[in-house]
Amino acid sequence: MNTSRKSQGLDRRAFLRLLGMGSAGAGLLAACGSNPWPSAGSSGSSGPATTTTTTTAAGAAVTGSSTTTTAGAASSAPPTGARTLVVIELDGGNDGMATLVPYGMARYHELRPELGFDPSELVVIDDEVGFHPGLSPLVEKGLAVVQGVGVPRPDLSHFQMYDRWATGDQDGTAGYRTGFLGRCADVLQGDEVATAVSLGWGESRYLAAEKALTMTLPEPDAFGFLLDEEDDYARAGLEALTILARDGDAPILSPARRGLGAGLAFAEVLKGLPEPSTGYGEDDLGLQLALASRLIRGNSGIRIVHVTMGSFDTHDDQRPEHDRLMGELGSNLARFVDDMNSAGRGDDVLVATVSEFGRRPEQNGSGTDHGAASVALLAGAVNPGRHGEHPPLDRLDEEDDLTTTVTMNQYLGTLASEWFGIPSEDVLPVSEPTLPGLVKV
Amino acid sequence: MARGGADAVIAAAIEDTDTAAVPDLDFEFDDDSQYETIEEAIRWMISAQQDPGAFLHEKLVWFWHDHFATSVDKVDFGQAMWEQHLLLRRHALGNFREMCQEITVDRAMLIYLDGDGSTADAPNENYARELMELFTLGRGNYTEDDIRAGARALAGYWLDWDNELSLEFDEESAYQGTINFLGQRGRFRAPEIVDIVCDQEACPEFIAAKLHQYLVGVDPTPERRTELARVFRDSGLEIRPLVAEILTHPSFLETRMSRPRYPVEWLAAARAVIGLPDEPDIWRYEEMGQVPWQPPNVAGWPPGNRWLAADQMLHKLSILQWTDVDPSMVDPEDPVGSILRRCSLWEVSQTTRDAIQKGIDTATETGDDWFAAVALATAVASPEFSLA
Repeated sequence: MNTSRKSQGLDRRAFLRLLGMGSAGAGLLAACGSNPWPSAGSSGSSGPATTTTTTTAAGAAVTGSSTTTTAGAASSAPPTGARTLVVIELDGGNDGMATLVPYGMARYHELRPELGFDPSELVVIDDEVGFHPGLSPLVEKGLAVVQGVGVPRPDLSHFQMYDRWATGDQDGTAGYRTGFLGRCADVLQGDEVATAVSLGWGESRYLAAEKALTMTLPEPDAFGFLLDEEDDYARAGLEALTILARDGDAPILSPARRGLGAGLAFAEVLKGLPEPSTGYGEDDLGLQLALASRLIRGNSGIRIVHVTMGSFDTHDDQRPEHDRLMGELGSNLARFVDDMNSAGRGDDVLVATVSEFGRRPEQNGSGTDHGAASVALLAGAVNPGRHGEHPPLDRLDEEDDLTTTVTMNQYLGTLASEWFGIPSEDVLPVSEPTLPGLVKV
Repeated sequence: MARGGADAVIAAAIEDTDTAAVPDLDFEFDDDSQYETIEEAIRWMISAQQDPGAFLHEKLVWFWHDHFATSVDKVDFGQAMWEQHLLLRRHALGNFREMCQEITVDRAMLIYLDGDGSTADAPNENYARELMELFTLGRGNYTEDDIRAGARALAGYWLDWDNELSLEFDEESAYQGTINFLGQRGRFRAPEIVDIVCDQEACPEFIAAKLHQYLVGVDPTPERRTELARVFRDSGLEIRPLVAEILTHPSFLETRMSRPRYPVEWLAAARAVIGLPDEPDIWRYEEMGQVPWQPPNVAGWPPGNRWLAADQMLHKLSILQWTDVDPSMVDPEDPVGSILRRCSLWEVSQTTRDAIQKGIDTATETGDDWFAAVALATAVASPEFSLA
């Protein structure tokens, strides 16, 4: 490369650095002259930046190895009956006290003068608590609730707590680069194309894995066009894409190549899914659970499904908004449980909710602020009813929040060990006693 | 400019001002007809980024939208969102403190982070928390007590529904006492709160590091971060000198392909290369998960390799599925080279070259003209084109 070329290259590079980050100028610039850097091969040595200066979770949706990403790779599903976990993330911090309502506990009506429920409105379990009315169709199918789920030292930031939940690190000190569900997927990974999938546009940090292929799927038909054998464009594109997805030439290009490979392989799996079941809501959760059902009934190899539902950040006008969310959750999950039962999969599908935190017990105007402990709901292969201890309402913590009676580590550990048979110390920072009798074993 | 050397290019960028022809939009209040205008606004904001004349200013407008992320889904009033957009345009390369002062009492922000109707008796903590955690200081530079005190001091603003959400301040709902806030004691209101926050040592550090990540693609070293913060602080939190300091440093040109292009960046570049019509298809932005005015949450769109995941890469390939591409874009004498030049891809792996060649070969076999589309699609879906 001679000097004049080099300096022209630098001009171009300056342009590209400025324009390449989104502007249209790149195309115009292309017309300005011949390629100053004709050499092939990437000179980059460091991978794309994954660190962030904000506290946002930077999720790596695809973290799989390239070995399973050949185009058209046959899906070898796990044997029918392999246990599957569907995690529903109640994004924004779900108000546990409006989900499992402690209507009979001391101070309840004092803390929630306007937001409080009358027992006549609830699906009453006993003289202390009752479920939100929106959950009633689900209660009929068998609904379990874990009370007082939280962390030992709460933080009130969405992003901090989201991070701790997603990485399965209740103290925020373990320094995990992977997500809790991603680590489970790493253990469960067999020879299927993908082990875990996040539906919709939800955050997928939960699914960041070392080895297992995990991915985000907006809708089932998203990539079907690629596999249309009648379509010449698709066929030509597919062949080019297969080469484009060959990983291993440069670390800096690797994440994108793996993304391409994973997409190709999974598009093939999607092609073979059964028809959707009817009866789900038209809301986001309904659409996502309908897809989850197809993935499970179609033996796609998926063992973990992550669905985000929101928003539960009810600072204001909580009642109508939270009522709607509970209604969508109750009716769609009831349909899902039925759907799994009719498909003969009722015993090997577990649904479990997570949420970054609960709300403060004392209402604030028409809403509630960020709080600490909350409840987790489980359906499918569960033993219905109350599990764990409800935190007392007359003995709040120093921030006036609910105390934790079941740690996040215990709860997630129960999902890992009781459901998947993965020792909790393999996927969590410490081993704590699990919750016996929560899931059906 | 292209002939004037890197310094001249960067110098021109630093002097960039708002040259966009900002439309005059009229949003109906509390009426479904506003949604059409909202779409029009979103389409215009996308076009502004794609305009061949768009340069650094437009990039900073987007940066600040991501920074002070506000969603029309919650705000649900196009006029307020539009005013916030104009606010960001005004200050994109201006003064950070002034921008912060204005955004604190911006109607869209008051709705989005619940400042609307917050009273000293029951202060809503949402804005006070995000002001410090996400907008100015970063975690670890304030306490929960600061949040509670700050929330009280910020109380008193409300939007009058009976008057098209006009901004009002109710002295009786405001806090009358003194508070302890970030080590200072006094009878503070919103302007003092913002000033105190902006005066913190952590503020210029936090903003400088985030801007460096955006423009260079990597976090600054601790030394560099300190240096940038000093420039920013000494200028009185003027944004332009900070940007100049980042762009004129050798690290700016030395760092390449350091982060994924966000969908808005990728789509702008891909659309220009392909020559798609001016009217952008919002659904493509929806599909790829990045629509202006619809950030996933107050933290904006997360950085990282998720933008290179399977779904993203396949959406990229699909961009040309239903598009007619002018076959003359491809030079038959040098098909791969001409495609790469069109995409301004100067450093390209052999694998990517092979893939484009394969696409051309397969397509040519059918004897159709649209091999140009396949070749272009392969190029824009390549890892190289996916990185900034």
